[in-house]
Amino acid sequence: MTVLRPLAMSPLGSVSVKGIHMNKLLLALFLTLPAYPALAQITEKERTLIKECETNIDPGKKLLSPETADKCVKGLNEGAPASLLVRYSNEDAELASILIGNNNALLDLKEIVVKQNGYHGAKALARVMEKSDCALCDMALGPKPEIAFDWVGKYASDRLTEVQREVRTWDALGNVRTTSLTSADYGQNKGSWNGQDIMSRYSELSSWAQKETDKLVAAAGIKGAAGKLDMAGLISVLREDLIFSDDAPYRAKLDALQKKTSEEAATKKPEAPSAADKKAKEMSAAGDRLAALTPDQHEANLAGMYDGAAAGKGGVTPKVGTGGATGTKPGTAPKAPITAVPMTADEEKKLGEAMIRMEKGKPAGYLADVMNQTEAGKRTNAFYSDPKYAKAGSNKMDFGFTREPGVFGYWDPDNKVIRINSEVAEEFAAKRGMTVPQMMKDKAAMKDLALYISPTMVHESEHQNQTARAIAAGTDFKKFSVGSSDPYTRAKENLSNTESAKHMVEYCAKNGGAGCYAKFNAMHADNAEKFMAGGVEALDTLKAPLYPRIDSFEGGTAREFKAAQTYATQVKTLENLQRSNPSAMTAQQKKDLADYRELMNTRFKWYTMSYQENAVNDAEALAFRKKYGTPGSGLAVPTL
Amino acid sequence: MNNLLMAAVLCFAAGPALGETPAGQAYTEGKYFTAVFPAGWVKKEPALGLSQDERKVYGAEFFGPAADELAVRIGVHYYAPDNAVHKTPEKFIKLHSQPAIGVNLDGKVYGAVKPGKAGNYYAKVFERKVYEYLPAGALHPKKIHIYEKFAVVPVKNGFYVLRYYAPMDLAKANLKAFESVLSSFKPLAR
Repeated sequence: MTVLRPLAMSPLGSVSVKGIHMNKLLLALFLTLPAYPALAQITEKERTLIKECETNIDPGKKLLSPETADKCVKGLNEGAPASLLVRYSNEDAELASILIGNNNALLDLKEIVVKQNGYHGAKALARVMEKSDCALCDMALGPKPEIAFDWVGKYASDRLTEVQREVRTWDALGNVRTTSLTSADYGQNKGSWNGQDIMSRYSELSSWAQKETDKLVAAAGIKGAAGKLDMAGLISVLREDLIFSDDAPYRAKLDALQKKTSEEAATKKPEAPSAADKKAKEMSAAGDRLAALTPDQHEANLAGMYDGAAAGKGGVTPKVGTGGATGTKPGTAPKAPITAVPMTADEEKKLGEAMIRMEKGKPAGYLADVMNQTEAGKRTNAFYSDPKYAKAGSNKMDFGFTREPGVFGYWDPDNKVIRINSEVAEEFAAKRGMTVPQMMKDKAAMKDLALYISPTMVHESEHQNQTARAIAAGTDFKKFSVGSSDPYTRAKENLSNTESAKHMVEYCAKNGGAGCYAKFNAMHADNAEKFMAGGVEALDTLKAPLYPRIDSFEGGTAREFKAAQTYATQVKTLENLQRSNPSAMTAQQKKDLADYRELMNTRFKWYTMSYQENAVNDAEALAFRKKYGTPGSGLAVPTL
Repeated sequence: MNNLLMAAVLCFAAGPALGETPAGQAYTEGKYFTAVFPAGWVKKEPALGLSQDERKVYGAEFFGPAADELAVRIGVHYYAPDNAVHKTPEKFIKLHSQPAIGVNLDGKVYGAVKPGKAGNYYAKVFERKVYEYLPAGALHPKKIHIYEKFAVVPVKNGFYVLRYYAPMDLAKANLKAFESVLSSFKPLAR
């Protein structure tokens, strides 16, 4: 039997939240439906909705309304497990896949335009417009971003200028760039420029800015030339285009040039400094002042800058985390922090095994112990010993530390490993005045490190669990040379963030209350805070800007159904033949029909399962907040 | 020296001129409220998960200018008496005017809850300065300062929340937009 989640492990088998009764068994039931369920007929009202949804995505009708798309997505998902989409896909797999894919594409485009900006917004637009599985292109909203400007003007008018800037369209480059780019040195014009894809435009501008930076630096050294240039203005333009890591030396050149220009202006007593130089000097001085501030002073400074906010007045006095954060025994003076000492490969291995390893078929170690104290953590531990997944090998534990600059930790679906950045442990030990090998002899510090990394373990393990569930449910249609999975979208991040937040909240409820949160990374504790304040929705609201490279669920849906159009067309052709002249079908055609139908059914199943899973997750989260959101923090409820 | 670059300098224009304050866009959320949101700001379709009817929370959120990858947002929502998210206005205030986990980590700032108005209705008003951590999952994420202002309007059946969210760099410039929404707010479910 295929189930969405291991019910016995879940803290809540069924969830009832003020009239919402989301039973996981409903989902399990959905997943056990046969490929061709005996489904109810489609009503006239539903056919009217289907027609409206079809009209909405017809580029000739020029509607393409995100509001109608929202209505369509909700309407097509009503009545699960026998939702309108499932029933309609049985009747016309091709049109059903286009309806759900393209209406989701409109929702996704609206979200990208509204919520993302700058380089990240450009990357998101390139992701949904310029790839071969571009559903927007079927609605004349790609692959060139310029073709979508009218749509943005109609449905997100305030964002049009920003979108034009972020895709670096010719008309939004400004005179400095276009004048220079049309010179013989670069030979560009509007047509050739807009003919490039979005990321190439950024690369071209980076290359242009590098060259022009060198020219500007040279010009600044020519006596009399510098005074004729708007140095501050040019530096500002060039800096906008020097955004890649390879551009760092050129950014440094501009910084030096700006400093030199400011200094020269300051020594020129007879002439008053230009407004731009004044500004540069002010900014430089402000930067020096800010750099000298401690974090607390920085906060106070910001509060002061924002007049009218009455920062801190009458507010809650920040509390200091209590107990155990240093890994030293009470009464023992903590050691002074040291510079972090890198681990060797052998030390990385030993630390990983000390944190968590499999013993007698179960997770053991400091991290396993911490996770056993919460339902989300227990679920993580239980996943690794669940025989249901063992056969497919999808729940094999491979945890460790590795050097991966910039990140805290990750699940790597190709290599099927969970890794924590070695720097996390090295910095953690260094703050306690220790190297990692020294810390490994300090049980209290090891327990604290396990607790510190446990939200990441719960989060990343949930990703591994998601892949295992997809394989078990047969929705792992994304095939790789080293494995398979279902599509990766932000919906998965919602589930992982929820589990991680629940783990922290429950742990702290059982281990000292509010002060306990100081033992977690501030970024992780902030997730727990957002979750307790507003549930999954509060976590999700910001996830688009925070995960710019990942498709939203809507975007992933559009992509997957677009990519499956060839299968959908084959199903429709062969099913028409089956209806009109079944005896004429060859054995190969019958096999092809069964194969293509299975491919489409798998995608509809993935989509409907994920859609429902997020609603269940939402309801579960609300129930969890109700259980753990009661006072205990000592906060008084204000009287209205 | 590239003459064209020098020529380009001469063409270098000042920043875009600020337009006049445009008229707002009137918005009605079913039988729950009306308000006038800033012209040109864009309404975001609801996110994945439970529907408004399942949550029994009804409203809209409009997105404005952006900085640091984060947009200024103004939201107005009606919480029905049996809603699934915040049972009472007091609980909403408790979870947002103070740290929801009971401890203030990382130097967030919470202002006092004060009496105020939203349209012609009495409200409890408070503000706070919190953070977003970008990029998500980084070892040393950048802390983006966020300013938020809330007005909570209790009515006989349920309550309303008007919320302003802005990256600090844009907070002051767009606060008037929120004040306009506040003054135009009319609850329909009373």
